[in-house]
This record gives sequence, C-alpha cells and structure tokens, in this order.
Amino acid sequence: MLALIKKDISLSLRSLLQSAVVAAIAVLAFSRLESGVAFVSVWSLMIPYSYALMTCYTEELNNGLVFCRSLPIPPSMIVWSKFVGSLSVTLASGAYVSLLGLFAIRVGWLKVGDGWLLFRAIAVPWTALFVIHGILFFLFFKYGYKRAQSVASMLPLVFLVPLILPGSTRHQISSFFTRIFGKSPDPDVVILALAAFGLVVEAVLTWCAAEVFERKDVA
Amino acid sequence: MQDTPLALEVSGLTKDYGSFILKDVSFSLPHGYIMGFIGQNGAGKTTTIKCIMNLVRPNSGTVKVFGIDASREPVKVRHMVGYVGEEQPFYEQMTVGATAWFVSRFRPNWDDDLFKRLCRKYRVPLDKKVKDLSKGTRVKFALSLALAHKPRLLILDEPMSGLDPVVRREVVEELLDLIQDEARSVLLSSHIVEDLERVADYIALIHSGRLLFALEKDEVLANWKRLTVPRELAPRIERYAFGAGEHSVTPVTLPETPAAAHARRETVTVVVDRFRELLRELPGLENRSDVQIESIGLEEIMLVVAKLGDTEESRSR
Repeated sequence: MLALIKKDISLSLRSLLQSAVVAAIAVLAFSRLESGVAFVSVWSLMIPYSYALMTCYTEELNNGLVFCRSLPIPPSMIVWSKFVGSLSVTLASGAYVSLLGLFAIRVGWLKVGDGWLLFRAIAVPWTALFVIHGILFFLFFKYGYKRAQSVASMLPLVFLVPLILPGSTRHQISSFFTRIFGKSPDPDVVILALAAFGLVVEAVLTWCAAEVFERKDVA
Repeated sequence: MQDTPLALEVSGLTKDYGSFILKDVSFSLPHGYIMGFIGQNGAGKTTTIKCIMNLVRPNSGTVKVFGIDASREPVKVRHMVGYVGEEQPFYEQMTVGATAWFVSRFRPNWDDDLFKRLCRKYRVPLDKKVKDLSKGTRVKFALSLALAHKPRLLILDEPMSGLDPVVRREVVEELLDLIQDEARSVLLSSHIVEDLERVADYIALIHSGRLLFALEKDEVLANWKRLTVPRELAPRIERYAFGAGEHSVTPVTLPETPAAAHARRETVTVVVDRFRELLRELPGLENRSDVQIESIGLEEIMLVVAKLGDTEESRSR
C-alpha cells in the first residue's frame, strides 16, 4: 500500500507544492484581516481536497486503474490507498497550515483569542472534508472521474449552509447536547467527535467503494 | 502431452456486452507451449484475454491458470502471469525506472538485474518519462516489465499493434527470441499471422465471439486445404467444406480433339477444414489428376472465416 500512496503523492507533488505556496501566501497575506482565521480554515481543507481530486484525475487520465488491476494488487488495496493517502495529506496539511497560523500569531498579524481557536478553525471543516472524500472515492470507483468530480465540486457549497441557518441554530445544538449529556459540551470535544464521525463516514464509503471496485469491469 | 500440466484452462467463458457476446469459449494451453490466438478485429480476442486477466468479469465460465481459479484468486494468478495489453497504460509522468520500482513492489520474484539487462538490450532509457517513449520503445518497455518477474505464463494481446513495419520486425524478432523459452507458456494474440505460423504450437481462432477451433498448428494446417474438384465429386467433398463451395468453369486447353472441343469441364473449389477425415472417406483423392489440393496458411483461413461470417450476416438481414 505504501507504494501506491508514494505513487499518488509523487504524481501530485507539483500540485501539492503549488497549493502549499498559495496557502502560505493566502494565510499570511490575509491574516491581518478580521476574518484572517477563516483563511487558515479554508486552506486546511483546500490542500487535501484538491489532492484527492488530483489523484482521481491522474488515474482517469492515465488509465491507471487498468494498469494497477493488471498487477497482483488486490482491488481493495487500491481503494484504501486513496483513503490512507488523503488522510495523511489532510493531517500533514493541517499541521502545515497550523505552523503558518502560529507564525502569523507570533508576528502579531493573526489575532485570535487563544491557540485553540486556530485548532478549531482547522478541525471544524475536517468533518465535511472527510465526508466529501468518502463520496468522491465512492463515486470515482463506481462511476469514474467525471461524475465524481461534478458532484464533489458542488459539495464545498455545504460551507454556505451555516450562513443561511438562523443564528439560534448554535444555541439549539448546544441545548440538544446538554439534554443528552446533562451538561454543556466542551466545544473541542464536539469538534473532535464530529471529525471522528466524518472519518467513520469516509471509512464506510471507502469500504463500499472497495466492494464495488472489486466487481467492476475496468477495461 | 496429455500428462503435461495445463498453464491455462478456459471453460465456457461467456461475456455479454449487449451488442457483442463472447459465447462459450473453451480452450486449454499445456505448459511450455505457445498458443497463437487469432481472429479479426472485434472477434473477441481482447475480451477473452481481459476475462482471463480478471479485468472484466465474465457472465459465466471459468478460467484456471496452473489449476488456480482466476476469479477466486486473481491476485495469485497475476503473480504467475506476465501481461502486455494492447494499450499498455502507464502513468505517463513517471519515468521508466520509477514505474519499474512501482511494479517491483508487487512482484516478489522481481529480478532487477534482468529488468535492467532487458532495458539495455532493447535500448529503453531508465530515466526517460513514459510519455516521451516512442511506440516501439513503449512496447519493449512493457515486455521488459512483463518478463522481469519471470512469469510462468506470458499473455500478449496484440503487442505489435500500431507499430510501423521496421519497428515491428525488430520487436517481433526480439519477442520470438524471448517466448521460445520452453519453461514458459505463451498466449499470443495477433492478427498478423505470419509470425504465429513461425512459432506457435497451437492455434485458436475466434470469430464473432465464438471459438471455431483450438488445435495444434500442424493439425490446423493439415486439415485446412483448398480443393478444386470435378463437379460430380462436389457433393462428397462439400460435407467437409467450411462454407459453401464456389463453382467455376475451366475451359479445355488447346490443342483439343473435336469431341473434346465441345466438352466443358465444370469444377468446384472448396475450402475444407477436415481434410484428414475427408481422406479417410476418399483415400485415393490425393492421387487423382483431376483434383487440385492446395495448402492454405492461417491468413487465408482467417479470410475464409471472415467471408463466411459476412455471408451469414447478410443472409440474416
């Protein structure tokens, strides 16, 4: 599996490096804005999101799935390598963007209440990112890149949902958790739980993708 | 030969694409032999091979490679098989060396020295990107990858397709040199049959999704003959014919007697696919002066089969 992941990363390396440079410019340049932390949030998911799309596109362009299936590689390993690879890139880009954010805080450009707000800015969109990855991989291995990409490219619109929800929504969610757990939930715990939930959803969708790909005619 | 283990055993392979059906294909290849798999474009050669490689799932039928079911243990089968497909997909941005490294991770029997020797022999540069390789070099690279893990069964699907004659001759000579290793079994699909006539031990002919025969090459060539016989003999011959016989009129040659000048000899030309069986019924046939017997090669056999196919198709319309 490591060879598959290494292959994906080496083929996407240029794109990853370009994204990293743009992320650095965006985060540092816009960190002085009041919504500067939002750029940290956005770029913590733009890098892994574009990486996942890129690996699928590369497979489609090169007929890579036919090549890999002609080798003694279990089809499920091909699918799970995308999951592990994208998760690794997600964690690595989160760490990278965090370093950019911490640097911006250090030089006084980024004004956040405490360091944990930076953590939340990075972790909150991961829930949606993991789910997007899962849907992307499932659609890619079942239908091919075109359909997967057209659906996946619409999914970031999900981030507009909080803008259309009424302001009282957050209070309602907090009340819901208080009723279940008997106390107001720790926001960091909620964020981690949501991210874990997103990861489980991605894993389930990846498992479905592996089942579908095993039976699919690739040539 | 019956005790020789089977490298490949295909039974009742069927794949339905709607507009094309591969129907009930069965053949076997004993270990250490070369089978030429021939047929027109679109006959079903590549579909059959893709079913063998588990790149497409057949609707029914089984494929066994050295006794292992390819649908139940496809990874195990692919460890034993070296495959060069018609299109040879690679990651174009990877170099030859990087691609070889990637493939070697999944091939426990990978011999890196052998791979490099083959690349040197075929002048495949290791540091060049795959997208920058010429078509002929790409084929040689694909062959090197397929051979470097010393496969027991080599499956080549039209490897010379799209090559110009000069490069094709070069690749064919190198390929023929490689595949005549008796420790290896080879299934070579091609519609360029003169090469198969040189090296194949067995010939399988597929037409419109149906396998017409899979026999030893010598048996094929001994059984397929073109016969020109007198009209009165035609009914006994045509039972063994592949397709309908063609009637023709042969004029009497000069000088001729007045009686003979009024005579017209009518002959029938047929292609038979069971000549040996015919000889058992008509033992003196070869000695008759009014019977012409011509040997025909694989290419002509394909033409006859194709022509019959066209005839049947137009009739059904």
